[in-house]
Amino acid sequence: MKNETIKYCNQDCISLYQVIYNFNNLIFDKYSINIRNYPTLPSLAFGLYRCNYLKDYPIPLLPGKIFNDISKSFTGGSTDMYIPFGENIRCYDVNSLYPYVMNNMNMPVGNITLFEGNILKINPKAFGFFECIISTPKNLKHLILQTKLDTGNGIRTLSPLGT
Amino acid sequence: MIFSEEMFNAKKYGYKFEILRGYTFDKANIFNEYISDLYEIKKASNKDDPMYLISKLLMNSLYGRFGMNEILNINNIINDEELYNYIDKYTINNIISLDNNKSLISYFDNNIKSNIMLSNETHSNISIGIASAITAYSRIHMTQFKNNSDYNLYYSDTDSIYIDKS
Repeated sequence: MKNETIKYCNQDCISLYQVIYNFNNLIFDKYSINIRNYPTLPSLAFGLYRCNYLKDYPIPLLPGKIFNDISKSFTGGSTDMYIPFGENIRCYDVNSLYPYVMNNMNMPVGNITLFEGNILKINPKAFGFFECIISTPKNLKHLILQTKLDTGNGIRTLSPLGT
Repeated sequence: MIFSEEMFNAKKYGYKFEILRGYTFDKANIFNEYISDLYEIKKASNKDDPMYLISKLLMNSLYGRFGMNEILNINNIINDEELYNYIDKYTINNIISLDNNKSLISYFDNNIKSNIMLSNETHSNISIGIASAITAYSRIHMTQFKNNSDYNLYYSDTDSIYIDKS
């Protein structure tokens, strides 16, 4: 039993080593970066983006107050159950939704301007993040805007009605 | 706070907005090449080929990095008698008892937070607007499938819908 366990652990280590070794070679050949400098997958993705795909366009660093303001708008995908029971339900999903969006849409980059008041009077196509008073329609079946609310028992995301 | 494009989209559904203040940005498509390269790999690989998973994960894990919180948790192993000092001083997220009078605790330091807030400087390469815009664009994309009178929508989440019509 002891020998079997040792054998198992040895094999485990060796195969893990081979996986890491091959993965490192793969990434290095393709993108010329060393995975040992990137402890997590997001940091690796970020590293190879910065090394290979960064364009002339400046991406602003958003610390402190701006970070806190904009993070109020940062919520995930919406999930909602509208009818709890049904038969013959078909399920459809969007192929690579986030990559699709990243590929096709314009991102907020470059120079940042802080404004007060209704920016649309000056620039009807203004692009950025706005703090607003929002009124919802009265008879919409599936609400589409959501916000974060601290319930005192953790933060919940919900789609409210009203103003 | 709401992303401008999500606001314009919601106006079509009858939402009304009174803008008080905000930040404007320039716009540019910056991920086009990164995604096209990796998507080609994903498309060319079979689902049980590791390259499929590698390319998929690399595509999906980039955007969140831009929205990373710059105040990182500190993890430390301490003696149990010190625990109350830590609870007084810091915001504790998690305590795992190690059963030998020691505990693994995860906490963050509010002093660091207020320092960062005052200095308006960062050392962690973040741009949360990008992360927020990507999730907002995705929600906009999904609104196309909601409020459609051709079918009944039973359930929807980030990227899928459950309906009663084929």
